[in-house]
Amino acid sequence: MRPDVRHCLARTGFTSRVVCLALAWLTSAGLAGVTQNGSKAGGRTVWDGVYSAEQADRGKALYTQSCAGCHSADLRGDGTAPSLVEGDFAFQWADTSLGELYERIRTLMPSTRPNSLPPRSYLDIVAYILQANQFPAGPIELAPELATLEQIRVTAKP
Amino acid sequence: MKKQIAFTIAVVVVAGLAALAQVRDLRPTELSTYTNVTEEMLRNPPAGDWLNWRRTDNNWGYSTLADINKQNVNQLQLAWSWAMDDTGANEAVPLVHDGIMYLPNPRGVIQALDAATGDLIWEYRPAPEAAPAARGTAAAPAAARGGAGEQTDIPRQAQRPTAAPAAEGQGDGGRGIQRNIAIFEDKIYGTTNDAHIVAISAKTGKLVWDTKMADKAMGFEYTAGPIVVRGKVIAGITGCSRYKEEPCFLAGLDARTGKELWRTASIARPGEPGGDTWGDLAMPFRAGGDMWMSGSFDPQTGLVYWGTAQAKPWARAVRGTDGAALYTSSTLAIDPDTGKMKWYYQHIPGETQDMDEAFERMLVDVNGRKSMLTMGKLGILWEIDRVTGKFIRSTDLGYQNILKVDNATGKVTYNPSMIPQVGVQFDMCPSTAGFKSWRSMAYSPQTNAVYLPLNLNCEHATFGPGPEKIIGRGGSGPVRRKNYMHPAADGALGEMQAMDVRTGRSIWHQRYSAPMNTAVLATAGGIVFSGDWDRHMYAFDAATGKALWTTRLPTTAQGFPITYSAKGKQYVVMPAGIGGGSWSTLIAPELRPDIRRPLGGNSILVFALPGDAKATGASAR
Repeated sequence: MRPDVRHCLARTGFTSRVVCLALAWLTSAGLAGVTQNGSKAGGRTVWDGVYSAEQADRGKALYTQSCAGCHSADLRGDGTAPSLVEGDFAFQWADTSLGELYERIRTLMPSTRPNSLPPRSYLDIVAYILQANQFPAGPIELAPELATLEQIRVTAKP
Repeated sequence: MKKQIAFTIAVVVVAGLAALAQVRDLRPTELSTYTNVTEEMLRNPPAGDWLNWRRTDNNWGYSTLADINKQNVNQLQLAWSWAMDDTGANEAVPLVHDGIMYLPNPRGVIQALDAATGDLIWEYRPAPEAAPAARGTAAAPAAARGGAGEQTDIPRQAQRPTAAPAAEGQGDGGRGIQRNIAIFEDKIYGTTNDAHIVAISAKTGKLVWDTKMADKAMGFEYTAGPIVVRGKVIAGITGCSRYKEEPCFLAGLDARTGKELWRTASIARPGEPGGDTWGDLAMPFRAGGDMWMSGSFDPQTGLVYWGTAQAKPWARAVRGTDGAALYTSSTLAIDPDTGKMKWYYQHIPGETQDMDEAFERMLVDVNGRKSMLTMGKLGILWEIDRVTGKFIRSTDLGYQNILKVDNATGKVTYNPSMIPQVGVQFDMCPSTAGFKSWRSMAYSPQTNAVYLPLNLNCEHATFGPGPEKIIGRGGSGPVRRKNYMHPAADGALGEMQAMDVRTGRSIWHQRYSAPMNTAVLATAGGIVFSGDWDRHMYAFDAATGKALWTTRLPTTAQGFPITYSAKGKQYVVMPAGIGGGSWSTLIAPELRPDIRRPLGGNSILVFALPGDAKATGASAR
């Protein structure tokens, strides 16, 4: 099972679990659609200008405050904190979705205080990581809907 | 007008002081009396004190106090507690001398507390750096210190600074770990996250000397504190995953002046003995060998013993050499007066998966042999002759699937499918978090057993291509990982295991939902104390493993439990806290997302028997 869905399912409350199950079904159906049609079925990639430059700027300030202590100012990581740019990022996140990246950061980071920032702040940080990896900015910001984020794939340059 | 205001302020201040003078039970802000800690006391600590990070030089983590024992431990109750700096990871080792506790908090904060009541006496808080140390930027400025750290004003000391260091955006705070401190004569010695070693007055908390050891902007930092041997403060540095000219090192400083007396690198340079074990890699690309745990000392051999971390990047294929990579993944035996390496023992030549052998070096006479014991992430207990550095034997807990150790020679043979190839997934046990980590084992001479706090986990791992060979790059190398529970663990992540060091046999084990998350404390009361990620603190019968007493803490148990006596009463300290490395921040939250902990909660909890409880059983004091 996809980690984001697993995290979702691990939440408390019957209603949320039902919503999560629906989400799990939707995402698996969506993936099946990709396979069957052999196309992206409307899915976007990180090359489609999915965040705004302004959002990335906000993200940079948040990154400096909450992430750079371990991942370094140049995002290249140190020790057990992995690099978030260039080949390392591509290797780690190729063929995943922004939903997975966002959920991983949101639920586990900063390691000394996970899930302590508002969801928008985590999104802004994702935008900054995209910018640092030279994915193009666009007119609109990343939106905080997990289902939407999951539709945005991390891919090599088309 | 200005004069009037000044006069009014003066009157108010004087009146305030006068009012304070009339207050009953005025709390001291420094110690009025203090007995120097001598070399002899460090080597043979009084029973009620806890003067070295594992109490004694041999790193046993064992106390001779026995007022709290098997018969009465179930009556333990909270005596006092204290909230700690909450801006970094808490892996604290408190020290206690003459009824005063010296407590290392995250981010270099050190406090002196009345060990009977928890009342704060003084607090040392390092001054923030003047310029942001923009590690990893092209033109990283040397981190200059903004000024001497000093004792925080009383009574303002209890307030948090308006901006916590982590929130200042300097990008150099790391996780703020300050594991242990040291005490000698009239000073407390600490190491800092910006690569300084400092001495502060044990009486007043004022800075005495401050020696910059390395450049934080290059990635250097301390997370492990020093030990003091023969008047030298000895500490190992970490932060050596990026490519740079200077390697990690162990250093000895004059305890009175802070003058550096020697420095011994943990990496063999080209042209030096062992220098050919890195293939043809130039010096900047020989990374790793970090020393991120403190050491031990044997007055008879006259040597200090230190562990070194693996070579970096983690995988051979990524770092560009299949060589042994000296002196990584090794035990170093060092002359504390000169820094000269008397011998080394490399546990895993050419280590290739981040399986640290960097943890505590425990000195035990096993069946009459002068041995050194250590266990790394693989869960293999190594027994090395601490006089000669020769392999004696190893005992594998049986959980790892990566390599074999020949029991006659100590020679390591990798399972060929476990040597990472770039882009090829394999399943390794443990994950890079390890079965064992910084959480030190304890040894009890009553049972001849070591007590092991474990985390039973594995990882689907795919190592990625390495960084370019450019100074300033480097790092561990990318790994796509998915952690999972060890198949033999029956759905449990945590295990406490007791192993008889004479036979290598397991005496008992206990399994728990979440990883064991603290070092272990053993006492002459026949008890071992430990705690887990699920906020439990346990007192086990050292002989049988029966949990005699359990309580719940505000957050995950994390750090080094200790015991001491103050005003004739025995106390047991359990640190709790956040952060704590991948074991605590990835494995448990990923694999047991149903077990949750609060956002903060760095603290110590101090337990004692009820006031009127009579000690039953023998006291060793």
